[in-house]
Amino acid sequence: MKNESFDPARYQRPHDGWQCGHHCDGRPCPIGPSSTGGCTVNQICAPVLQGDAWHCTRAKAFGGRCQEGPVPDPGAPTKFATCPHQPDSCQPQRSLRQKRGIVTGIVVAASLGICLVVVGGSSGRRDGVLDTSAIVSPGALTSHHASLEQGCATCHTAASQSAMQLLNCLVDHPGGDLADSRKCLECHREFGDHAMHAHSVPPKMMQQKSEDVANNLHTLQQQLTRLSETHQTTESGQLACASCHVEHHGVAFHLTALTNQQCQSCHSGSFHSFANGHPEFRERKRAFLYFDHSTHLQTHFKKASEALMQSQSLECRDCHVQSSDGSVMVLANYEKMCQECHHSQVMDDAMPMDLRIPGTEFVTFRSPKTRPAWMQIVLGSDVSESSEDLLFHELIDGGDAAVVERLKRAIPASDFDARKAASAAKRLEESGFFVALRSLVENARTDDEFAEDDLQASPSVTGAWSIHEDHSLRYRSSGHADPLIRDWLNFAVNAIRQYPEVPEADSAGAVDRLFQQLAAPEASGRCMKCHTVDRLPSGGFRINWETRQSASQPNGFTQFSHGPHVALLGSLEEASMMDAHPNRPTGTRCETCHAVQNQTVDFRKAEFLLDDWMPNPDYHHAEASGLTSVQRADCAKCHTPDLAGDSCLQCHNYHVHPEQVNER
Amino acid sequence: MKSLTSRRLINTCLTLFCAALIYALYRIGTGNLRPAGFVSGWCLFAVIIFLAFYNVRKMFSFLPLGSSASWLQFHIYVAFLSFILFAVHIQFSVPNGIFECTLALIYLSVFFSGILGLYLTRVYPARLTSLGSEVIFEHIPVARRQLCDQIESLMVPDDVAAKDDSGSVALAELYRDTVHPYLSTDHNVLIHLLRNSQRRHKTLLNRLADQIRYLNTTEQGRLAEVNSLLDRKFQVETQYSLQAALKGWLFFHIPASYSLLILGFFHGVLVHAWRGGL
Repeated sequence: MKNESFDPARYQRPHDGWQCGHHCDGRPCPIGPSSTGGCTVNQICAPVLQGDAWHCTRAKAFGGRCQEGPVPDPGAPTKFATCPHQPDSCQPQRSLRQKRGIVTGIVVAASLGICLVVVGGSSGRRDGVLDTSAIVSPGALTSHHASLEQGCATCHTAASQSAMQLLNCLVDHPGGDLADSRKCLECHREFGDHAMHAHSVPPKMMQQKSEDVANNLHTLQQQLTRLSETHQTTESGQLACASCHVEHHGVAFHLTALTNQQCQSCHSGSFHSFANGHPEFRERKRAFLYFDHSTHLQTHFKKASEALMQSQSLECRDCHVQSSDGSVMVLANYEKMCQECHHSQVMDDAMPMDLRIPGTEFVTFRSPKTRPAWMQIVLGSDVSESSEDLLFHELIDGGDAAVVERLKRAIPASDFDARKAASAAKRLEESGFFVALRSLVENARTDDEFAEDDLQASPSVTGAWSIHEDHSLRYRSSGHADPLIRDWLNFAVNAIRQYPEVPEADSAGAVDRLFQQLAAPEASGRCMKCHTVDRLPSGGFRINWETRQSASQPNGFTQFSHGPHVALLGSLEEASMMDAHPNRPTGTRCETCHAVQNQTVDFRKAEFLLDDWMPNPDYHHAEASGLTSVQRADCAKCHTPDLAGDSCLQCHNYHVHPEQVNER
Repeated sequence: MKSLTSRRLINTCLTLFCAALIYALYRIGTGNLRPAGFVSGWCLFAVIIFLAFYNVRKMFSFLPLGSSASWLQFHIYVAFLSFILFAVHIQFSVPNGIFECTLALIYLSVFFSGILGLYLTRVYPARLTSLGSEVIFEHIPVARRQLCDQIESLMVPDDVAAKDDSGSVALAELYRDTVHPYLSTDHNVLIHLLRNSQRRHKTLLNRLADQIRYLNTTEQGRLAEVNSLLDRKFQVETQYSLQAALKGWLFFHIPASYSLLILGFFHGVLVHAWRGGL
């Protein structure tokens, strides 16, 4: 049953903006409001005065003309009349659609207003009235950057722009995203000039390394990753800091965290995991000290123990102890480790030493081959006897300053290190060399016998000069780390340039000869028996006097900390009993990773020196430990995702310090 | 013609396939240090624009842009897809910044209001069908008034011919005491949205039924007709509530969508300007 009816031509349309005010009561007027929301009920009937009578003009749509006709106004019957059937006027109401439109308009206006406030606010600009940086900021900075929360402009160049300039930044940003990275580098200067290049190394070097790696893709995901090319770099090959370090993710966010996949996305040769596909370790870098572990552990220490009636031989940890931060195994000092057996060798003065004045051989000085190298250096090409006399008197009178002056004249300026020369000459002064030389010269001229008592006592820090029966002036080392020998070695190794073409007659050749004589196995002090020589990136050489790489040394591509590994020693056996893992090594000792080399190695002559005792420039191939290299497979037993982790960043640094670049 | 089930199955599978594709691209993008956030952000913005065009399509119905039903299907499934994009864009975590949190809340409110709308448009039409002949929403006040007037005329007849010969005023008193207060009260829109919303209506009918024994035969016939009109009035009011709900959720969904478009675009401008341009 249909109880309600309506005129389909007259009902309220959804798209109409206004509806009659009586609509909600169910009694809307038939004409409805105007398009502007005005009540039009008066238009239903507009009475017309014809003669003396008013006539109804109501349209058929609204009921047609009424029979009663309009009612004249009592006050002005000929001027006004009203229709008796005219509905009450109303206040039209907005339709549902129009209300929705208004709500939408308000929301849109509010949204635009928010945008304008944010753009118009300061956002880090100090001249702004309203600081909206807190609104714009996508999140808190990490704790490391907490001090930077003084405005966006500290890190973002766009933040210092005006509102219009900010919009302009969309299409024409000065410097692009690298501009912000340069702001990062205002504080992070430790990465050098190539901080924004891959691994902070020069592009040419990186290109060379990339070409060396074979293209080896394993999984489908890696292949897909490679298909999408590499990470975003600019035309200059530089990479924005934000490519990897994404800020505004909260105080505790790990800013340097990267997945293995992200690391491998740039590498031309990718692999599945550390255990599966990771390249084998390269031959490890030579230790600073040349030490034959094999012979010492298997022979010398055992003999020493037997001689001392000790039941237990020396262990690794008797010499190697953890550094304060636990990262490095440092060596105990010379006195504890070596002195007991090697002190007599270090103090041996029977061996000829280049820093000498050979008395009986005085007449042979004119031959550059027999002349001591240091004397050849300071004499230069002058070989007359008078020049030697002049030299001695000049040295006796001028002391260390005269030596430095002579060295400066003899060594090319590009190879001359004034500081090292001054230090070496100063050691001569400290050791009483010039006093001894005076005594030698005076006694030689008078041909008198002289006593060793004539010499001044040498200062305690250096060794002592003594005149021997053959009228030679010889130096006796003060012991380990003798400063005179050390400084002359430093001076010599720094000045070596002409190798392997060593001219015999000129002073430069004499510099090389000086090093050869100081580095020879029979040389006093025996320094180069243990202390190795490395080639510097600049082309020269350096003697490694220290026993380890200090913790403050800049990072290279690879890092390793002994700390967590040493912690496993001894306790791992118990741990493995409780938490057995098929791949977990049991009974871990130092030798688990550092196995003693069974192969016989001739350690009588260090490989970092050549047969003529000059530094070996091919230092990468020099091995000086008697231990086998650590194998990747050994590490992979523990370094799995489930056990010790196999993240790239556990062992590798992304940013490499410039000083480390050429050493790798 | 495809059945509803097969169509839904195909559309769902397509949506899931696109979602899987988006997730795979996201993993690859983040894997090789590409700015995956920019890609997912612009994709999300493009999808939102497409969704917003459904409203434009309704405004320009005279244009040959495909049927509204097809647009609605696209609108629904692409909206679900946008949620996947949104999750990828925010990297499956809660945003940290005030502006970003606001933007995320607006998106979620638009999305879930759309889910609500989807539920309403799937459930309420069936209820409307069960409520007898459908009345156009804009005519419901008039229809309700007509029903009230009919009830009043039955219970309190004006013309003499319609009055009972016995002179009984029981029906008129019943109208005055019971029915008129019921009719003069504005109906509760929200109550009618619930399925068990007939308590007040049933109470009235029970009270009227209790009065039957005091009425004569003619009055009982009229009361039966009044009962029928009251049922119809209840149906019409329920229709009003249901249709109001069907129209009302758009009061939130559409304005919030425009706000999302504006603030989303502004968000894109900001991050690009801050990051170094397009």
